Amino acid sequence: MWILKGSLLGVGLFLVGAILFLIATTGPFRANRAIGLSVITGLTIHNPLFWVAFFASLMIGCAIVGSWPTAAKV
Amino acid sequence: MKSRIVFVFIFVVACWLCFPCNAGAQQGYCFNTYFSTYINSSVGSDHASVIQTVQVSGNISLNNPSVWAGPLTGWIYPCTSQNNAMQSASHTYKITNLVGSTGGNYSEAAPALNYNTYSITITAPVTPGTVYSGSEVELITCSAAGTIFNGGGGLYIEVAYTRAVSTGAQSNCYWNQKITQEVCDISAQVWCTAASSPPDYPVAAVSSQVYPPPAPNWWETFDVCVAYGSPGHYRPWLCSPFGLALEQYTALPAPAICTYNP
Repeated sequence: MWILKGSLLGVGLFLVGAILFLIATTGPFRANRAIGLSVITGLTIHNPLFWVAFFASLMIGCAIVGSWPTAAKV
Repeated sequence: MKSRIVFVFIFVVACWLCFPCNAGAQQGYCFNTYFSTYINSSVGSDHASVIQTVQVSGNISLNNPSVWAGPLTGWIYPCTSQNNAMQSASHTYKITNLVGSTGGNYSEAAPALNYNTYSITITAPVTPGTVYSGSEVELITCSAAGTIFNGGGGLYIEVAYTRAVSTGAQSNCYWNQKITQEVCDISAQVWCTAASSPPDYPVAAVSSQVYPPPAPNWWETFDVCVAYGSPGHYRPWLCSPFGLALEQYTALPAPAICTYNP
């Protein structure tokens, strides 16, 4: 169960980070300017560091959940 | 529950701040509108009346953008005739200022290109403890361009679609070394039918891959846009800076029916 929780936490962390990363790298934003799909895929699924960050986030999520204190069984 | 409300509020404010502050002015196609409204209500010194002021003020500025109409026609300037008409046009400022049964509709005409302030103040007798219905509407109509400002109405949101064609000019290029990709802002013109022009989302540039070649010839673009007003008086639409463009590398197709909700 903790693996599932850890994965969900890791995916959540990763998505937030990915959105912030895209905002930081595709800016500065101006009115009436669109971002091409090739730019987004180039920064994400075609980027090896993107996948490294994804698996790192999963491991960090699992590590956090695994280290959560649990109630002692009496 | 309270923290959830605070989070939603912060999220909405953050999203709203993402919109460029001057985007409303840039959204105009043939002209930009710079109008603002002011409403103030106060209790009279006799404590038996309400003094309500409704004011609308501002001006417009003209644009004359060029549009690439194909190799046979070349560049065209679709706003030229309207801009010429604006020189001699007049704007009618309409204000509805109503408290209970006091007040009504008021209007004033002024030269189209002048800065103008139109203000109406009414003093309505009231009985303390009684609820009165009131309304205020600010509407500006132009003899050359129809309704150009509507201070009444609600907030509307849409996903706008616009077809854009590359003009070839590139700027703000950068190199993505991770995947050997060069990205540039490519200047674009909208490519919409006359009936759907100007579109709600007037794409002016697209950030796209130019290396490895080829650079795209045209794009299908989508964005989330908001407007305040009522049907027929939505403009200008305010679009987010996160518009998405699907690159196309085929020959230029016919102009598309873009999202157009005036």
